[in-house]
Amino acid sequence: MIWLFERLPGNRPIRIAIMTILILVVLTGVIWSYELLGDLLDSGGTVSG
Amino acid sequence: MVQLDSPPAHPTSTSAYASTVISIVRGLGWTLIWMGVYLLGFVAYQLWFTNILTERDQAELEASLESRFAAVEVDQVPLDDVYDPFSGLTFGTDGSDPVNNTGNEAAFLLVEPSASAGDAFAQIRIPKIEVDVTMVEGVERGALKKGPGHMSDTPLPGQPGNAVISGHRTTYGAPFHNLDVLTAGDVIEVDSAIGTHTYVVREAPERCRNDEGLCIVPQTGLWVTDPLEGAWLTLTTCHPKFSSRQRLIVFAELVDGPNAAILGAT
Repeated sequence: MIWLFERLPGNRPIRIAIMTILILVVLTGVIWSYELLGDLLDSGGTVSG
Repeated sequence: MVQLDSPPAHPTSTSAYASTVISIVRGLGWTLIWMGVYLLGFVAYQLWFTNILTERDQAELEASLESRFAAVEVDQVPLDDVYDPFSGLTFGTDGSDPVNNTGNEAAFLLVEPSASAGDAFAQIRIPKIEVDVTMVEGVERGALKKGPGHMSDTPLPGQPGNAVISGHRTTYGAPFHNLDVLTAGDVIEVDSAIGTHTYVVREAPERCRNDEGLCIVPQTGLWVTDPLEGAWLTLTTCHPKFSSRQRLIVFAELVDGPNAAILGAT
């Protein structure tokens, strides 16, 4: 993260803003993938045609 | 004569090769570390965090269930008007006064209106496996995260036909984690707006019974939701644990409750 932070363009506040957005995007993607993978573990037990 | 301390023939290419190998190994190492972190996060999310989410939802549902019980209007409907489990009727009321058109003594069924999707409508208790959770209307992904859900195109518990309830087995509170422990004769109670309905677990049907006496069907085993004569509660969950490959089904028959006598419960 420090490696990435040092390579971002702009001054410190801009870098912090970009990092915050990047972290949120990554976390959202991770949780979304957890939800999809979670269906393989337990999809709620419904039956459907 | 060979000079022993002479430099390698291609010093630059050798060090570049070594550097590339080191970079690849380092990259691979970091990739494996992040994959491990991702998988640990996945396990923590599924087995711990989802339970916290459901626990929070259940606390809210309990409160809204009390409100529903206090506010909902219970109606009486002539049994003959609704008791046809094979017709595909949805059981409910149109707001009109009950009319006894049987020609015999009054035979009225207590009915309650359905809740909105995702809202609390009843409490289910299974003493043998220490289940005591609030159920919601609907079996959509969002609804089942809160608690066991009622399949909307089946009758409500306590009504004639086959009321189908689905629930998570290993995540989101795992309400049906130990459903495989239930055997014939075990009791399931459902509190709804019209009262407490008592069901007793019955033997698994032959067409789905495995060596352990459990009813296991594929995820597409829709026949388990078919209407049944009498009043039944059918619980469905994933099987085996930590896999959604199949479904474990428990069938229970109504034996006591506000509508039990009129439905000829045994």
